[in-house]
Amino acid sequence: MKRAKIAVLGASPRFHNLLERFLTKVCRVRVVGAEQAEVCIIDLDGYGASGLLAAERQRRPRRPLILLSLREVEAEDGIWLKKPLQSRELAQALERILGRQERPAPQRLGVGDRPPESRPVSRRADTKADEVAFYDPKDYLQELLATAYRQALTTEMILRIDLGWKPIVIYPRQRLVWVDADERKLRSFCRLPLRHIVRLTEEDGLQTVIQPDPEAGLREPPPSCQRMDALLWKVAWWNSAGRLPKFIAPDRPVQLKRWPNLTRYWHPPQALPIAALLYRRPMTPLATARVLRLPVRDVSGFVSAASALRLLCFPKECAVGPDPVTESPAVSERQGLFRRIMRRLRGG
Amino acid sequence: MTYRKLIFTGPVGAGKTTAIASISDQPPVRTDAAASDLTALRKSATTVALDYGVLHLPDGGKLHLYGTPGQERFDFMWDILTEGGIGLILLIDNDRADPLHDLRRFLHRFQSFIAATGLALGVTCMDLRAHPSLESYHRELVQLGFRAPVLEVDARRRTDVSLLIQALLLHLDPGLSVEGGKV
Repeated sequence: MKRAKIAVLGASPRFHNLLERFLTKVCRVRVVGAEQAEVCIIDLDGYGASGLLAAERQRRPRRPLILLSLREVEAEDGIWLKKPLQSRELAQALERILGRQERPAPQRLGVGDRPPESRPVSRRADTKADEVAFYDPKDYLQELLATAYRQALTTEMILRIDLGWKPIVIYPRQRLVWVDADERKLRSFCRLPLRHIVRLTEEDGLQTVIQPDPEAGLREPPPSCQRMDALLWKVAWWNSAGRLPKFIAPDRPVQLKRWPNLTRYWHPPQALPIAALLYRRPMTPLATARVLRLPVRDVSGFVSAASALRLLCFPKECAVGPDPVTESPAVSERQGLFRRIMRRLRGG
Repeated sequence: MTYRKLIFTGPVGAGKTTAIASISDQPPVRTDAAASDLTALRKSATTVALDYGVLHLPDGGKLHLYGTPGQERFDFMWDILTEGGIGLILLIDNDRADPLHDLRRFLHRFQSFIAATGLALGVTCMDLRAHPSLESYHRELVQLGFRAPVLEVDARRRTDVSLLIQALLLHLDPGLSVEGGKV
């Protein structure tokens, strides 16, 4: 099995050992010397580290860098991680970098290859199918959450998900769910595949389990509970990280069965026009991005979240007919008015 | 200037007056009267002619917000108020006895106006009663031949009312979000 090669530079022997253990055991990469490495991690607080960084930039300007330091540094050509270092942040940074390095595979991926989720996502509003990235929801919290929801609703029992992270408790009667983490932590957690979390907790003998929580049934759900649908929506959006679920082709039409309840769901502003367009007519994710002039990753996030809530259907053909907006003077006049109203509503 | 007019309708107590007050840039004009019929069981005063609010637009123009009276005996006002409207915001109180019946009644009554413009449905009081679900409302709409955004709304929250109006506008014209005009 091919493993990415990482060099750790500038770290004290103790810190180096700690990083090496984490990188090999949890991140499943090899720690090698600077000459062989594909990615360099530099501890900028170590003795002579600034010289190391300058030399590295001169010698291998295209090699990705992860910079560790107590103080913020400009890391245009790499990723800066603030110390004290969080293991999850390091794993995420590596995942991002290794994902960026990977090129789309021309043939079917083998067991030892990197998964398709590692394919790169373009930062501009591209609409090319080969630049769309994919992920498998089964690797992430969204699928586990959906499974636990189904079990809780079927059995009408309060269930608890133990991931070795924060407990998640599902109250099916009230359609509520409690996560002992704020939005920032949850979002950060959603970036990692679950296998990383399980690896991090293997030593403690923890396993990912869904089990009844009779104790929780003795109390009212905490006030900080969230609605089940709202949590699954945002978890799926964040798990997506701009990628499409692997079972949704970017060039096949999708359509919304109905609008998502956006007054109660987390969403970026572009969710509204995407919802309007995909509700109005079947359209491929690529065409949606092109028509709305949005990056494909925005559409992918929406499609992933809508798919998790089973709001999508998959018509065989795109609707034929005029574009959503025609060009008559009356429409232009109306558009001008509508646009001003939108600007006013969004502006305050 | 009847062109720039947005209509709020729905049964008594659905939150029309509150929604207009939430979004209006100036204190809304109300034509309340003390409720003397069954409405008194729900609230002490009810709209008898119209509610009026205004949203100032960036170009100096105005969007006029009109709320219809909820009681059917004042329905002669409905046609007057909707003339020249750009779309309909229908609010349904989920805590009433038969909210799906309310929905059917208002869809039937405003059928031609909706066909000429568009509709967004806001369901209020879902915190008091969760059923019918939004899915049920949507199913009912489709069965009656309508397609529209259906969102849960708290009429007291400006963001909810704003999102519902945005949903209506984007439903009418999904290309609005694209800078520079047509898509």
